[in-house]
Amino acid sequence: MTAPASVALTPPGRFMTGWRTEAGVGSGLVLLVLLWIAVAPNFLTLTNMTVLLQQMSVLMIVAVGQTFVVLTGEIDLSVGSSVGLTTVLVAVLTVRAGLPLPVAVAAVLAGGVLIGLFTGLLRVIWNIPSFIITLGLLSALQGVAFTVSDGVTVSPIPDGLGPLWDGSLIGIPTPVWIMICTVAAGMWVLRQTRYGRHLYALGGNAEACRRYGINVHALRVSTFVVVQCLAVLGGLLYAAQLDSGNATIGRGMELNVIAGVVVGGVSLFGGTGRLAGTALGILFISVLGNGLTLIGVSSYVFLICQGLVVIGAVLWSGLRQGGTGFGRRT
Amino acid sequence: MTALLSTTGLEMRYGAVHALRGVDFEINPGELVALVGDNGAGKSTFVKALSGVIQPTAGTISCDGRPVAAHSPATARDLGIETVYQDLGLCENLTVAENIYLGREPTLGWGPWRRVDRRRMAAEVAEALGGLSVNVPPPDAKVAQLSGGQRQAVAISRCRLWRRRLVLLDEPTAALGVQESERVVATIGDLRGDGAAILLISHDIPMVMRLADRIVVLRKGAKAADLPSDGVTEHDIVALITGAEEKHHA
Repeated sequence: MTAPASVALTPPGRFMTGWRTEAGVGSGLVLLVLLWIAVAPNFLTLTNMTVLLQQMSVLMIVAVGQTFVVLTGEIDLSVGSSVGLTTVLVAVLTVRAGLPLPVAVAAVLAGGVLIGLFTGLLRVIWNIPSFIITLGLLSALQGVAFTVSDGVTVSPIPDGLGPLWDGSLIGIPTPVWIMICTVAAGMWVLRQTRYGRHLYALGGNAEACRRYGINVHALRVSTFVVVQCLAVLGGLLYAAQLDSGNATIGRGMELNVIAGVVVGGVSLFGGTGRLAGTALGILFISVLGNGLTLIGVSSYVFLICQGLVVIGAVLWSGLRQGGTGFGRRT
Repeated sequence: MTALLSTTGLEMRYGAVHALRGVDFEINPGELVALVGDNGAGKSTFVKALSGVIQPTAGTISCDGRPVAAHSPATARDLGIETVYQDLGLCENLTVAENIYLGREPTLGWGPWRRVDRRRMAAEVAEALGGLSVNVPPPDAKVAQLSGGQRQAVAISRCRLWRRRLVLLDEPTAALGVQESERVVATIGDLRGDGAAILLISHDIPMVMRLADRIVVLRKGAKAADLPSDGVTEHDIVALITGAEEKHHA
Protein backbone atom coordinates (compact mmCIF):
# COMPACT_ATOMS: atom_id res chain seq x y z
CA MET A 1 0.00 0.00 0.00
CA THR A 2 1.16 3.48 -0.75
CA ALA A 3 2.41 5.56 2.11
CA PRO A 4 0.06 8.25 3.35
CA ALA A 5 0.50 11.65 1.83
CA SER A 6 2.50 14.32 3.47
CA VAL A 7 3.79 17.75 2.56
CA ALA A 8 7.20 18.31 4.07
CA LEU A 9 7.88 21.44 6.05
CA THR A 10 10.40 23.99 4.87
CA PRO A 11 13.63 23.30 6.75
CA PRO A 12 14.67 26.20 8.95
CA GLY A 13 17.66 28.07 7.57
CA ARG A 14 16.63 27.85 3.94
CA PHE A 15 15.72 31.52 4.07
CA MET A 16 19.33 32.44 4.79
CA THR A 17 20.57 29.97 2.17
CA GLY A 18 18.50 31.80 -0.41
CA TRP A 19 20.22 35.08 0.46
CA ARG A 20 23.74 33.64 0.42
CA THR A 21 24.84 35.66 -2.62
CA GLU A 22 23.61 38.97 -1.23
CA ALA A 23 25.21 38.13 2.12
CA GLY A 24 28.49 37.49 0.31
CA VAL A 25 28.39 40.80 -1.57
CA GLY A 26 27.30 42.59 1.60
CA SER A 27 30.25 41.10 3.51
CA GLY A 28 32.63 42.12 0.74
CA LEU A 29 31.19 45.62 0.85
CA VAL A 30 31.65 45.88 4.60
CA LEU A 31 35.30 44.78 4.25
CA LEU A 32 35.83 47.31 1.47
CA VAL A 33 34.30 50.10 3.55
CA LEU A 34 36.50 49.15 6.53
CA LEU A 35 39.55 49.19 4.25
CA TRP A 36 38.74 52.67 2.90
CA ILE A 37 38.03 53.96 6.42
CA ALA A 38 41.49 52.74 7.41
CA VAL A 39 43.42 54.10 4.42
CA ALA A 40 41.34 57.08 3.23
CA PRO A 41 40.60 59.49 6.10
CA ASN A 42 38.09 61.53 4.13
CA PHE A 43 36.08 58.48 3.04
CA LEU A 44 33.60 58.51 5.91
CA THR A 45 32.68 62.19 5.69
CA LEU A 46 29.19 63.52 5.05
CA THR A 47 30.33 65.30 1.90
CA ASN A 48 31.93 62.19 0.45
CA MET A 49 28.95 60.02 1.33
CA THR A 50 26.58 62.51 -0.32
CA VAL A 51 28.72 62.70 -3.46
CA LEU A 52 29.05 58.92 -3.54
CA LEU A 53 25.30 58.39 -3.33
CA GLN A 54 24.57 61.13 -5.86
CA GLN A 55 27.09 59.79 -8.37
CA MET A 56 25.84 56.26 -7.82
CA SER A 57 22.20 57.15 -8.41
CA VAL A 58 22.28 57.11 -12.22
CA LEU A 59 24.19 53.83 -12.26
CA MET A 60 21.70 52.30 -9.84
CA ILE A 61 18.63 53.52 -11.74
CA VAL A 62 19.89 52.05 -15.02
CA ALA A 63 20.96 48.86 -13.21
CA VAL A 64 17.36 48.33 -12.07
CA GLY A 65 16.31 48.15 -15.72
CA GLN A 66 19.31 46.04 -16.65
CA THR A 67 18.32 43.56 -13.93
CA PHE A 68 14.91 43.15 -15.58
CA VAL A 69 16.64 42.42 -18.89
CA VAL A 70 19.30 40.08 -17.49
CA LEU A 71 16.71 38.10 -15.51
CA THR A 72 15.17 37.03 -18.82
CA GLY A 73 18.58 35.86 -20.05
CA GLU A 74 19.13 38.92 -22.29
CA ILE A 75 21.47 41.91 -22.06
CA ASP A 76 21.41 45.57 -23.12
CA LEU A 77 24.83 47.01 -23.94
CA SER A 78 23.43 50.25 -25.34
CA VAL A 79 22.36 51.88 -22.05
CA GLY A 80 25.46 54.07 -21.77
CA SER A 81 24.93 55.46 -25.27
CA SER A 82 21.23 56.02 -24.50
CA VAL A 83 22.21 58.08 -21.46
CA GLY A 84 24.53 60.21 -23.59
CA LEU A 85 21.98 60.59 -26.37
CA THR A 86 19.36 61.67 -23.82
CA THR A 87 21.56 64.50 -22.54
CA VAL A 88 22.23 65.63 -26.12
CA LEU A 89 18.60 65.44 -27.24
CA VAL A 90 17.18 67.26 -24.22
CA ALA A 91 19.82 69.97 -24.65
CA VAL A 92 19.35 70.33 -28.41
CA LEU A 93 15.56 70.35 -28.17
CA THR A 94 15.51 73.03 -25.47
CA VAL A 95 18.55 75.15 -26.41
CA ARG A 96 18.62 74.98 -30.20
CA ALA A 97 15.01 74.14 -31.07
CA GLY A 98 13.59 76.26 -28.24
CA LEU A 99 11.04 73.67 -27.18
CA PRO A 100 9.58 73.88 -23.67
CA LEU A 101 11.37 71.57 -21.22
CA PRO A 102 8.35 69.28 -20.59
CA VAL A 103 7.97 68.72 -24.34
CA ALA A 104 11.66 67.93 -24.69
CA VAL A 105 11.51 65.51 -21.75
CA ALA A 106 8.43 63.80 -23.23
CA ALA A 107 10.21 63.54 -26.59
CA VAL A 108 13.35 61.90 -25.17
CA LEU A 109 11.20 59.53 -23.13
CA ALA A 110 9.32 58.58 -26.30
CA GLY A 111 12.71 58.10 -27.96
CA GLY A 112 13.71 55.71 -25.18
CA VAL A 113 10.51 53.72 -25.64
CA LEU A 114 11.17 53.50 -29.39
CA ILE A 115 14.76 52.29 -28.88
CA GLY A 116 13.49 49.65 -26.44
CA LEU A 117 10.79 48.55 -28.89
CA PHE A 118 13.32 48.43 -31.72
CA THR A 119 15.68 46.22 -29.72
CA GLY A 120 12.93 44.00 -28.38
CA LEU A 121 11.22 43.51 -31.73
CA LEU A 122 14.48 42.64 -33.48
CA ARG A 123 15.10 40.12 -30.71
CA VAL A 124 11.71 38.41 -30.85
CA ILE A 125 10.85 38.67 -34.55
CA TRP A 126 14.21 37.83 -36.12
CA ASN A 127 15.63 36.07 -33.11
CA ILE A 128 18.82 38.16 -33.24
CA PRO A 129 20.77 37.84 -29.96
CA SER A 130 20.27 40.95 -27.83
CA PHE A 131 24.03 41.07 -27.30
CA ILE A 132 24.52 41.75 -31.02
CA ILE A 133 21.61 44.19 -31.41
CA THR A 134 22.61 46.32 -28.44
CA LEU A 135 26.31 46.18 -29.33
CA GLY A 136 25.30 47.71 -32.67
CA LEU A 137 23.09 50.25 -30.92
CA LEU A 138 25.90 51.16 -28.53
CA SER A 139 27.81 52.49 -31.52
CA ALA A 140 24.84 53.75 -33.53
CA LEU A 141 23.27 55.78 -30.69
CA GLN A 142 26.62 57.35 -29.89
CA GLY A 143 26.94 58.25 -33.57
CA VAL A 144 23.47 59.83 -33.50
CA ALA A 145 24.42 61.80 -30.38
CA PHE A 146 27.63 63.11 -32.01
CA THR A 147 25.77 63.96 -35.22
CA VAL A 148 22.91 65.79 -33.49
CA SER A 149 25.25 67.74 -31.21
CA ASP A 150 27.87 68.35 -33.95
CA GLY A 151 30.33 66.83 -31.50
CA VAL A 152 30.19 69.78 -29.12
CA THR A 153 28.66 70.40 -25.70
CA VAL A 154 25.19 71.92 -25.94
CA SER A 155 24.26 74.23 -23.03
CA PRO A 156 22.82 75.80 -20.98
CA ILE A 157 19.66 73.78 -20.42
CA PRO A 158 16.70 75.77 -19.01
CA ASP A 159 16.60 76.08 -15.22
CA GLY A 160 13.68 73.70 -14.76
CA LEU A 161 15.93 70.63 -15.02
CA GLY A 162 18.50 71.76 -12.42
CA PRO A 163 16.55 70.81 -9.26
CA LEU A 164 16.47 67.23 -10.50
CA TRP A 165 20.13 67.08 -9.45
CA ASP A 166 20.63 69.99 -7.06
CA GLY A 167 17.38 69.70 -5.12
CA SER A 168 17.00 67.91 -1.82
CA LEU A 169 14.34 66.70 0.56
CA ILE A 170 15.03 66.44 4.30
CA GLY A 171 18.70 66.83 3.50
CA ILE A 172 18.84 63.97 1.03
CA PRO A 173 19.60 64.95 -2.61
CA THR A 174 16.81 64.46 -5.16
CA PRO A 175 18.76 61.92 -7.29
CA VAL A 176 19.16 59.75 -4.20
CA TRP A 177 15.40 59.89 -3.61
CA ILE A 178 14.77 58.99 -7.25
CA MET A 179 17.23 56.10 -6.90
CA ILE A 180 15.54 54.84 -3.72
CA CYS A 181 12.09 55.05 -5.29
CA THR A 182 13.25 53.28 -8.48
CA VAL A 183 14.90 50.44 -6.56
CA ALA A 184 11.88 50.06 -4.25
CA ALA A 185 9.48 50.04 -7.20
CA GLY A 186 11.65 47.55 -9.06
CA MET A 187 11.80 45.26 -6.02
CA TRP A 188 8.04 45.42 -5.62
CA VAL A 189 7.43 44.63 -9.28
CA LEU A 190 9.86 41.71 -9.38
CA ARG A 191 8.79 40.21 -6.10
CA GLN A 192 5.08 40.91 -5.91
CA THR A 193 3.58 41.18 -9.37
CA ARG A 194 2.67 38.55 -11.95
CA TYR A 195 4.80 40.48 -14.44
CA GLY A 196 7.86 40.20 -12.21
CA ARG A 197 7.35 36.51 -11.49
CA HIS A 198 6.90 35.87 -15.22
CA LEU A 199 10.28 37.52 -15.89
CA TYR A 200 11.88 34.97 -13.57
CA ALA A 201 9.91 32.17 -15.23
CA LEU A 202 10.99 33.37 -18.67
CA GLY A 203 14.63 33.31 -17.59
CA GLY A 204 14.14 29.82 -16.17
CA ASN A 205 12.25 28.12 -18.99
CA ALA A 206 10.91 30.16 -21.90
CA GLU A 207 9.29 27.14 -23.54
CA ALA A 208 7.30 26.32 -20.38
CA CYS A 209 6.10 29.93 -20.26
CA ARG A 210 4.93 29.70 -23.86
CA ARG A 211 3.08 26.46 -23.17
CA TYR A 212 1.28 27.97 -20.22
CA GLY A 213 -0.03 30.91 -22.16
CA ILE A 214 2.46 33.60 -21.08
CA ASN A 215 3.16 36.10 -23.84
CA VAL A 216 6.90 35.53 -24.00
CA HIS A 217 7.51 38.02 -26.82
CA ALA A 218 5.68 40.86 -25.07
CA LEU A 219 7.60 40.16 -21.86
CA ARG A 220 10.97 40.27 -23.62
CA VAL A 221 10.16 43.48 -25.47
CA SER A 222 8.87 45.12 -22.27
CA THR A 223 12.17 44.63 -20.45
CA PHE A 224 14.08 46.46 -23.20
CA VAL A 225 11.55 49.31 -23.01
CA VAL A 226 11.93 49.46 -19.21
CA VAL A 227 15.74 49.62 -19.31
CA GLN A 228 15.72 52.30 -22.03
CA CYS A 229 13.19 54.43 -20.12
CA LEU A 230 15.38 54.20 -17.03
CA ALA A 231 18.44 55.07 -19.14
CA VAL A 232 16.53 58.18 -20.28
CA LEU A 233 15.83 59.03 -16.63
CA GLY A 234 19.55 58.60 -15.91
CA GLY A 235 20.40 60.83 -18.86
CA LEU A 236 18.04 63.52 -17.60
CA LEU A 237 19.78 63.42 -14.21
CA TYR A 238 23.20 63.84 -15.85
CA ALA A 239 21.85 66.66 -18.03
CA ALA A 240 20.56 68.32 -14.86
CA GLN A 241 23.91 67.87 -13.12
CA LEU A 242 26.03 69.21 -16.00
CA ASP A 243 23.44 71.70 -17.28
CA SER A 244 24.37 70.52 -20.75
CA GLY A 245 24.27 67.69 -23.23
CA ASN A 246 27.34 65.91 -24.55
CA ALA A 247 27.68 62.75 -26.63
CA THR A 248 30.53 61.44 -24.49
CA ILE A 249 28.40 61.30 -21.33
CA GLY A 250 27.61 57.74 -20.30
CA ARG A 251 30.46 56.26 -22.32
CA GLY A 252 31.46 52.90 -20.84
CA MET A 253 28.65 53.11 -18.32
CA GLU A 254 27.17 49.81 -19.56
CA LEU A 255 30.18 47.98 -18.12
CA ASN A 256 29.64 49.55 -14.68
CA VAL A 257 25.95 48.66 -14.80
CA ILE A 258 26.54 45.07 -15.89
CA ALA A 259 29.34 44.76 -13.32
CA GLY A 260 26.97 45.82 -10.53
CA VAL A 261 24.23 43.47 -11.72
CA VAL A 262 26.57 40.48 -12.01
CA VAL A 263 28.45 41.20 -8.79
CA GLY A 264 25.05 41.39 -7.08
CA GLY A 265 24.34 37.78 -8.04
CA VAL A 266 22.00 38.18 -10.99
CA SER A 267 22.83 35.32 -13.32
CA LEU A 268 23.74 36.30 -16.88
CA PHE A 269 22.02 33.08 -17.90
CA GLY A 270 18.70 34.40 -16.59
CA GLY A 271 16.19 33.34 -13.97
CA THR A 272 18.10 34.01 -10.76
CA GLY A 273 19.05 37.07 -8.77
CA ARG A 274 17.39 39.91 -6.92
CA LEU A 275 17.37 43.68 -7.06
CA ALA A 276 18.70 43.76 -3.51
CA GLY A 277 21.79 42.03 -4.89
CA THR A 278 22.03 44.48 -7.78
CA ALA A 279 21.82 47.39 -5.31
CA LEU A 280 24.64 45.88 -3.26
CA GLY A 281 26.65 45.18 -6.41
CA ILE A 282 26.34 48.78 -7.64
CA LEU A 283 27.21 50.02 -4.16
CA PHE A 284 30.28 47.75 -4.17
CA ILE A 285 31.48 49.00 -7.58
CA SER A 286 30.82 52.64 -6.60
CA VAL A 287 32.57 52.35 -3.22
CA LEU A 288 35.51 50.64 -4.94
CA GLY A 289 35.85 53.52 -7.42
CA ASN A 290 35.30 56.18 -4.77
CA GLY A 291 37.93 54.75 -2.43
CA LEU A 292 40.52 54.32 -5.17
CA THR A 293 39.98 57.94 -6.21
CA LEU A 294 40.34 59.13 -2.61
CA ILE A 295 43.66 57.39 -2.12
CA GLY A 296 44.90 58.83 -5.39
CA VAL A 297 45.02 55.67 -7.46
CA SER A 298 44.81 56.21 -11.21
CA SER A 299 41.41 55.73 -12.86
CA TYR A 300 43.14 53.18 -15.11
CA VAL A 301 43.70 50.99 -12.06
CA PHE A 302 40.00 51.26 -11.30
CA LEU A 303 39.26 49.91 -14.78
CA ILE A 304 41.57 46.95 -14.11
CA CYS A 305 39.92 46.28 -10.72
CA GLN A 306 36.45 46.61 -12.19
CA GLY A 307 37.23 44.19 -15.00
CA LEU A 308 38.67 41.62 -12.59
CA VAL A 309 35.64 41.96 -10.30
CA VAL A 310 33.29 41.31 -13.25
CA ILE A 311 35.26 38.27 -14.41
CA GLY A 312 35.32 36.96 -10.83
CA ALA A 313 31.58 37.51 -10.43
CA VAL A 314 30.72 35.75 -13.71
CA LEU A 315 33.02 32.87 -12.81
CA TRP A 316 31.32 32.58 -9.42
CA SER A 317 27.90 32.73 -11.06
CA GLY A 318 28.86 29.88 -13.39
CA LEU A 319 30.32 27.79 -10.59
CA ARG A 320 27.14 28.21 -8.54
CA GLN A 321 25.28 26.62 -11.45
CA GLY A 322 27.61 23.66 -11.36
CA GLY A 323 29.67 25.03 -14.22
CA THR A 324 26.92 24.15 -16.66
CA GLY A 325 26.22 27.72 -17.56
CA PHE A 326 29.44 28.09 -19.52
CA GLY A 327 28.58 25.34 -21.97
CA ARG A 328 31.00 22.71 -23.20
CA ARG A 329 34.68 23.46 -23.36
CA THR A 330 35.96 23.36 -26.92
CA MET B 1 -22.03 8.50 -24.81
CA THR B 2 -20.51 11.63 -26.32
CA ALA B 3 -16.75 11.46 -26.39
CA LEU B 4 -14.92 14.00 -24.22
CA LEU B 5 -12.42 14.57 -27.01
CA SER B 6 -12.27 13.08 -30.49
CA THR B 7 -10.35 13.52 -33.70
CA THR B 8 -11.47 12.73 -37.22
CA GLY B 9 -9.04 12.27 -40.08
CA LEU B 10 -6.26 14.16 -38.29
CA GLU B 11 -3.36 14.87 -40.64
CA MET B 12 -0.05 16.56 -39.99
CA ARG B 13 2.66 17.24 -42.54
CA TYR B 14 6.07 18.78 -41.89
CA GLY B 15 7.17 19.47 -45.46
CA ALA B 16 7.75 16.07 -47.02
CA VAL B 17 7.25 14.24 -43.70
CA HIS B 18 3.74 12.86 -43.19
CA ALA B 19 3.65 12.71 -39.38
CA LEU B 20 -0.06 11.93 -38.91
CA ARG B 21 -2.18 10.11 -41.47
CA GLY B 22 -5.92 10.46 -40.95
CA VAL B 23 -6.04 9.53 -37.25
CA ASP B 24 -9.53 8.88 -35.85
CA PHE B 25 -9.50 8.80 -32.08
CA GLU B 26 -11.78 9.32 -29.12
CA ILE B 27 -11.53 9.35 -25.35
CA ASN B 28 -14.49 9.29 -22.97
CA PRO B 29 -14.86 11.00 -19.58
CA GLY B 30 -12.92 9.19 -16.85
CA GLU B 31 -11.25 6.82 -19.30
CA LEU B 32 -7.53 6.01 -19.31
CA VAL B 33 -6.36 5.43 -22.86
CA ALA B 34 -2.78 4.50 -23.64
CA LEU B 35 -1.16 5.67 -26.85
CA VAL B 36 1.74 3.46 -27.88
CA GLY B 37 4.00 3.28 -30.89
CA ASP B 38 7.59 3.13 -31.98
CA ASN B 39 9.85 6.16 -32.17
CA GLY B 40 8.62 8.35 -35.01
CA ALA B 41 5.16 6.78 -35.00
CA GLY B 42 3.56 10.21 -34.47
CA LYS B 43 2.70 10.03 -30.75
CA SER B 44 4.29 13.34 -29.79
CA THR B 45 2.86 15.07 -32.86
CA PHE B 46 -0.58 13.77 -31.94
CA VAL B 47 -0.22 15.07 -28.38
CA LYS B 48 0.96 18.47 -29.63
CA ALA B 49 -2.05 18.66 -31.95
CA LEU B 50 -4.45 17.80 -29.11
CA SER B 51 -2.84 20.32 -26.77
CA GLY B 52 -3.00 23.06 -29.42
CA VAL B 53 0.75 23.55 -29.71
CA ILE B 54 0.65 22.71 -33.44
CA GLN B 55 -2.16 23.14 -35.93
CA PRO B 56 -3.02 19.96 -37.86
CA THR B 57 -2.91 20.32 -41.64
CA ALA B 58 -6.25 18.51 -42.00
CA GLY B 59 -8.93 16.83 -39.90
CA THR B 60 -11.13 17.85 -37.01
CA ILE B 61 -10.72 17.97 -33.25
CA SER B 62 -14.00 17.88 -31.34
CA CYS B 63 -14.72 18.38 -27.66
CA ASP B 64 -18.02 17.14 -26.22
CA GLY B 65 -19.11 16.45 -29.79
CA ARG B 66 -18.51 20.02 -30.98
CA PRO B 67 -15.68 20.82 -33.42
CA VAL B 68 -13.02 23.06 -31.93
CA ALA B 69 -12.00 25.93 -34.20
CA ALA B 70 -8.50 27.45 -33.98
CA HIS B 71 -7.21 25.03 -31.38
CA SER B 72 -4.44 26.64 -29.30
CA PRO B 73 -2.85 26.04 -25.86
CA ALA B 74 -5.26 28.64 -24.48
CA THR B 75 -8.37 27.01 -25.96
CA ALA B 76 -7.13 23.60 -24.82
CA ARG B 77 -6.82 24.97 -21.31
CA ASP B 78 -10.29 26.51 -21.52
CA LEU B 79 -11.65 23.12 -22.57
CA GLY B 80 -10.07 21.53 -19.50
CA ILE B 81 -7.18 19.83 -21.32
CA GLU B 82 -3.76 19.89 -19.65
CA THR B 83 -0.55 18.37 -20.97
CA VAL B 84 2.36 17.05 -18.96
CA TYR B 85 5.22 16.96 -21.43
CA GLN B 86 8.13 14.57 -21.31
CA ASP B 87 10.41 17.45 -20.26
CA LEU B 88 7.75 18.39 -17.66
CA GLY B 89 7.80 22.08 -18.60
CA LEU B 90 8.88 23.22 -15.14
CA CYS B 91 10.92 26.29 -14.28
CA GLU B 92 13.69 25.01 -12.02
CA ASN B 93 14.34 28.47 -10.61
CA LEU B 94 10.77 28.83 -9.30
CA THR B 95 9.05 27.21 -6.37
CA VAL B 96 6.64 24.30 -6.54
CA ALA B 97 3.67 26.64 -5.99
CA GLU B 98 4.86 29.12 -8.61
CA ASN B 99 5.24 26.33 -11.15
CA ILE B 100 1.82 24.92 -10.48
CA TYR B 101 0.26 28.38 -10.85
CA LEU B 102 2.46 29.50 -13.76
CA GLY B 103 0.39 31.82 -15.94
CA ARG B 104 -2.60 31.63 -13.58
CA GLU B 105 -1.32 33.28 -10.42
CA PRO B 106 -4.10 34.60 -8.18
CA THR B 107 -3.76 38.26 -7.28
CA LEU B 108 -4.76 40.59 -4.47
CA GLY B 109 -5.40 44.32 -4.61
CA TRP B 110 -6.43 46.67 -7.35
CA GLY B 111 -5.00 48.20 -10.52
CA PRO B 112 -1.23 48.74 -10.46
CA TRP B 113 -1.11 47.64 -6.83
CA ARG B 114 -2.30 44.16 -7.68
CA ARG B 115 0.11 41.58 -6.30
CA VAL B 116 0.47 37.83 -6.38
CA ASP B 117 -1.47 36.13 -3.58
CA ARG B 118 1.31 33.86 -2.33
CA ARG B 119 -0.55 32.79 0.78
CA ARG B 120 -3.47 31.47 -1.24
CA MET B 121 -1.12 29.76 -3.69
CA ALA B 122 0.79 28.03 -0.90
CA ALA B 123 -2.38 26.95 0.89
CA GLU B 124 -4.09 25.57 -2.21
CA VAL B 125 -0.97 23.82 -3.44
CA ALA B 126 -0.34 22.29 -0.01
CA GLU B 127 -3.90 21.00 -0.03
CA ALA B 128 -3.61 19.59 -3.55
CA LEU B 129 -0.23 18.01 -2.89
CA GLY B 130 -1.34 16.74 0.48
CA GLY B 131 -4.02 14.65 -1.22
CA LEU B 132 -1.47 12.76 -3.28
CA SER B 133 -0.36 9.23 -2.51
CA VAL B 134 3.31 10.16 -2.53
CA ASN B 135 5.49 12.32 -0.31
CA VAL B 136 5.87 15.65 -1.98
CA PRO B 137 8.00 18.71 -1.31
CA PRO B 138 6.68 21.88 0.36
CA PRO B 139 5.07 24.50 -1.91
CA ASP B 140 7.94 26.92 -1.35
CA ALA B 141 10.69 24.46 -2.32
CA LYS B 142 12.60 25.27 -5.49
CA VAL B 143 12.00 22.72 -8.25
CA ALA B 144 15.78 22.54 -8.82
CA GLN B 145 16.03 20.78 -5.44
CA LEU B 146 13.57 18.00 -6.34
CA SER B 147 14.12 14.47 -7.60
CA GLY B 148 12.75 13.29 -10.95
CA GLY B 149 9.75 11.61 -9.34
CA GLN B 150 8.95 14.66 -7.25
CA ARG B 151 9.09 16.82 -10.35
CA GLN B 152 6.65 14.51 -12.08
CA ALA B 153 4.38 14.77 -9.04
CA VAL B 154 4.53 18.56 -9.28
CA ALA B 155 3.76 18.52 -13.01
CA ILE B 156 0.83 16.17 -12.51
CA SER B 157 -0.40 18.13 -9.49
CA ARG B 158 -0.77 21.12 -11.76
CA CYS B 159 -3.50 19.19 -13.60
CA ARG B 160 -5.01 18.05 -10.34
CA LEU B 161 -5.27 21.50 -8.81
CA TRP B 162 -6.98 22.89 -11.88
CA ARG B 163 -9.47 20.01 -12.02
CA ARG B 164 -8.65 19.13 -15.60
CA ARG B 165 -11.11 16.98 -17.54
CA LEU B 166 -8.44 15.46 -19.76
CA VAL B 167 -4.76 15.07 -18.98
CA LEU B 168 -2.24 14.19 -21.67
CA LEU B 169 0.76 12.47 -20.09
CA ASP B 170 3.74 12.23 -22.43
CA GLU B 171 6.15 9.51 -21.28
CA PRO B 172 5.70 10.24 -17.57
CA THR B 173 8.06 7.50 -16.41
CA ALA B 174 10.81 7.96 -18.99
CA ALA B 175 14.24 8.32 -17.34
CA LEU B 176 12.87 7.36 -13.90
CA GLY B 177 13.94 4.48 -11.70
CA VAL B 178 11.56 1.69 -10.65
CA GLN B 179 10.70 3.28 -7.31
CA GLU B 180 10.11 6.72 -8.78
CA SER B 181 8.02 5.22 -11.60
CA GLU B 182 5.80 3.58 -8.99
CA ARG B 183 5.31 6.96 -7.35
CA VAL B 184 4.24 8.40 -10.68
CA VAL B 185 1.83 5.50 -11.17
CA ALA B 186 0.34 6.29 -7.76
CA THR B 187 -0.02 9.94 -8.77
CA ILE B 188 -1.78 8.92 -11.98
CA GLY B 189 -4.13 6.89 -9.79
CA ASP B 190 -4.87 10.02 -7.74
CA LEU B 191 -5.60 11.94 -10.91
CA ARG B 192 -7.95 9.24 -12.08
CA GLY B 193 -9.63 9.23 -8.71
CA ASP B 194 -10.55 12.85 -9.36
CA GLY B 195 -12.47 11.71 -12.43
CA ALA B 196 -10.08 13.04 -15.06
CA ALA B 197 -9.72 11.23 -18.37
CA ILE B 198 -6.08 10.40 -19.14
CA LEU B 199 -4.24 9.87 -22.40
CA LEU B 200 -1.03 8.10 -21.44
CA ILE B 201 1.80 8.02 -23.96
CA SER B 202 4.39 5.46 -22.98
CA HIS B 203 6.92 2.92 -24.17
CA ASP B 204 6.46 0.99 -20.92
CA ILE B 205 4.12 -1.73 -22.18
CA PRO B 206 3.71 -3.56 -18.80
CA MET B 207 2.68 -0.26 -17.16
CA VAL B 208 0.31 0.49 -20.02
CA MET B 209 -1.27 -2.96 -19.71
CA ARG B 210 -1.68 -2.42 -15.96
CA LEU B 211 -3.23 1.04 -16.10
CA ALA B 212 -5.07 1.54 -19.37
CA ASP B 213 -8.70 0.77 -20.18
CA ARG B 214 -7.93 0.95 -23.89
CA ILE B 215 -4.79 0.89 -25.98
CA VAL B 216 -4.38 2.80 -29.23
CA VAL B 217 -1.41 1.86 -31.40
CA LEU B 218 0.12 4.33 -33.84
CA ARG B 219 2.41 3.16 -36.60
CA LYS B 220 4.00 5.42 -39.22
CA GLY B 221 1.54 8.18 -38.35
CA ALA B 222 -1.59 6.06 -38.79
CA LYS B 223 -3.78 4.30 -36.26
CA ALA B 224 -2.84 0.62 -36.38
CA ALA B 225 -5.16 -0.62 -33.63
CA ASP B 226 -7.62 0.48 -30.96
CA LEU B 227 -8.40 -2.31 -28.53
CA PRO B 228 -9.36 -2.86 -24.88
CA SER B 229 -6.44 -3.75 -22.63
CA ASP B 230 -8.27 -6.84 -21.38
CA GLY B 231 -7.57 -9.91 -23.43
CA VAL B 232 -4.43 -8.68 -25.18
CA THR B 233 -0.91 -9.68 -24.35
CA GLU B 234 2.29 -7.67 -24.31
CA HIS B 235 3.35 -9.73 -27.32
CA ASP B 236 0.24 -8.64 -29.24
CA ILE B 237 0.95 -4.99 -28.50
CA VAL B 238 4.61 -5.24 -29.49
CA ALA B 239 3.60 -7.00 -32.69
CA LEU B 240 1.16 -4.20 -33.50
CA ILE B 241 3.77 -1.54 -32.75
CA THR B 242 6.41 -3.14 -34.95
CA GLY B 243 4.03 -4.34 -37.64
CA ALA B 244 5.14 -7.94 -37.13
CA GLU B 245 1.54 -9.22 -37.34
CA GLU B 246 1.07 -7.62 -40.75
CA LYS B 247 4.37 -8.96 -42.02
CA HIS B 248 3.53 -12.41 -40.68
CA HIS B 249 0.13 -12.43 -42.44
CA ALA B 250 1.66 -11.05 -45.62
